[in-house]
Amino acid sequence: MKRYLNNHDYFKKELNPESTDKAVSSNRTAALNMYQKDFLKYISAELKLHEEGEVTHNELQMIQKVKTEIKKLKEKNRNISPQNLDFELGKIFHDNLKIDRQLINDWNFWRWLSLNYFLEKIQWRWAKEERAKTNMDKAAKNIFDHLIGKNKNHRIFPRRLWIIGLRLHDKMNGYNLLDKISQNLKTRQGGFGDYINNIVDDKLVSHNDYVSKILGELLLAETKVQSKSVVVRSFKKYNGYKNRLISEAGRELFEKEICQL
Amino acid sequence: MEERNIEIEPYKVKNNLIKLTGEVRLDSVDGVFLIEDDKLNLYGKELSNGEILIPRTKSKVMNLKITPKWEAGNYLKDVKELLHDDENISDAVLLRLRIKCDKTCWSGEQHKIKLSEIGKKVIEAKIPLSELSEEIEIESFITREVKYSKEVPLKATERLSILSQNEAFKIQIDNMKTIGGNFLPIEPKKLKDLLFQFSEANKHDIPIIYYSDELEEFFKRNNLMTVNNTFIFIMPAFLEHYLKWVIFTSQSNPIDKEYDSLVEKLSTLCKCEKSEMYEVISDNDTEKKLQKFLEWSKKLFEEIQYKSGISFRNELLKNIKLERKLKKEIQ
Repeated sequence: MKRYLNNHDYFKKELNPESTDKAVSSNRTAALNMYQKDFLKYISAELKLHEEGEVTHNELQMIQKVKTEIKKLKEKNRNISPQNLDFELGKIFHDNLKIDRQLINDWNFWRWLSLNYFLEKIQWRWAKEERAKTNMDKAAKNIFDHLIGKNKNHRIFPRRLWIIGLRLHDKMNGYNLLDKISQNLKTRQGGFGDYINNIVDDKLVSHNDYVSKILGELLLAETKVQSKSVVVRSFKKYNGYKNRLISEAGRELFEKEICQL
Repeated sequence: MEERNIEIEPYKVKNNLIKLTGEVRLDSVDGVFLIEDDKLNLYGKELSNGEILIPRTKSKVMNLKITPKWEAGNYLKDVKELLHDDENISDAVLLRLRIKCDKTCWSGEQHKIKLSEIGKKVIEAKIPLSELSEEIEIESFITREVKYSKEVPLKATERLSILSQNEAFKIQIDNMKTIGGNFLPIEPKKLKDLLFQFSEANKHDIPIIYYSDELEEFFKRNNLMTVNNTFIFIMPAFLEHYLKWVIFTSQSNPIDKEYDSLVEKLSTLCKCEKSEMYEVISDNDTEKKLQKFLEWSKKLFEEIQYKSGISFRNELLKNIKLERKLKKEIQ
């Protein structure tokens, strides 16, 4: 795979649509709302990007497979808001993009992937409503944030989704847990967004991503889906125990002490 | 992610009761590397055949054999003191070892050992390098394994409370790139004949390192050997400047994250406690400040050469070999 040698600040300086110069802001807003192929021409002309590494034929096929699967998912779920498809998108990314965990926090790799292949998917997932209302400025801000991870690298579109799949995939049970949560997301109200925000962060370190799985199982996979406040409280509680080693504790401890169900 | 600490009744702990010993092997690499002191840097290590080791290019798996041992002292009495009088030490506590990589959020399964097995049991672990980045940590904890229902002041009662913890042993496998601007502010500027310059010092703002803008294109890339070498060997001078600024000019500001992380970095390299450095910064006694600066700058100069993820000696050896190889190829 390739990665950019340009750092985060470079993109924030050269591509951010929130510029004090109106002409610059307007150009960048237009660019972020372009089709992928036109956007690539724009960044090639306007930005001085340096890359390293190679993309193999196999890697290009993996990326193409992800795009094809997303297209199918969109067509199958025309009447469902894209935000209710995050777990399914996570499964698509993780199942098809066979990369080493070593790349998990290589932000320059994720930015390269995002800018070169996923602009139109980001427009659909993060700016569909704004674009429908022709609020292109707001759309551009959202697109920029998830294209390069403006304030938080964890927001970079392909990385955010790939890690959802990683955290919930199990060698024995495949994507069963992810599928259950995804089904609940489409039909019930609950703290799904806060759950995602917590598992895409890089603080949860546990064997086979056990903590992400057990909390997903207890909070969002059952018939009763827990509310935003219970999800937020549970993660706060887990992260707050500095004097206890609970990353491999049993279900009962998580149920009673962490989630307080 | 928002964080807070859970308020729990304070209890007595006794840290650093255990030391880790053992060995590390990499598949396809001849040689055994010992687990001793607090860190093993495999990246750029010179092997007995003269080769410079870049673990990821040679190996796929790291094999660990670890034997936890007691540090000197009356260890059983030390642990018993942390339990309740009516508890049996062999039922109530375990030693847990965890191998993890923060950079990739990876963790191996915890290894659990009875205290009676310490010094005897060898723990083996095979870790694929593809799961890791930069460095791994081997942590050891003595944990309470059963809940104690009566409240006793200053004694832990909750299951999985950490009674004793050791400083993690670290194994570095990649170039960590902490040298070269990750924690220091650095910007391009028109500098005429100069290559580097510091911004004017004031007590609030961390000085900025300016470099000649003619080199911007090259300095922003991290794959140029000459640029990397330049930064490695200029780094002691940069850090000494920051140490001077922190001690003599700056106004102590631990709430500011950037200032605090600079003090933390400097105190690690000067082998002193962060709190001690803050004390010296706030002290009005110039004589004392001067004395500390001289003491710390000497340590800083030595520590920076191998403790910041890059071994100056190994890096230079590696590059000399590479240069000789390139010259031969050109001839």
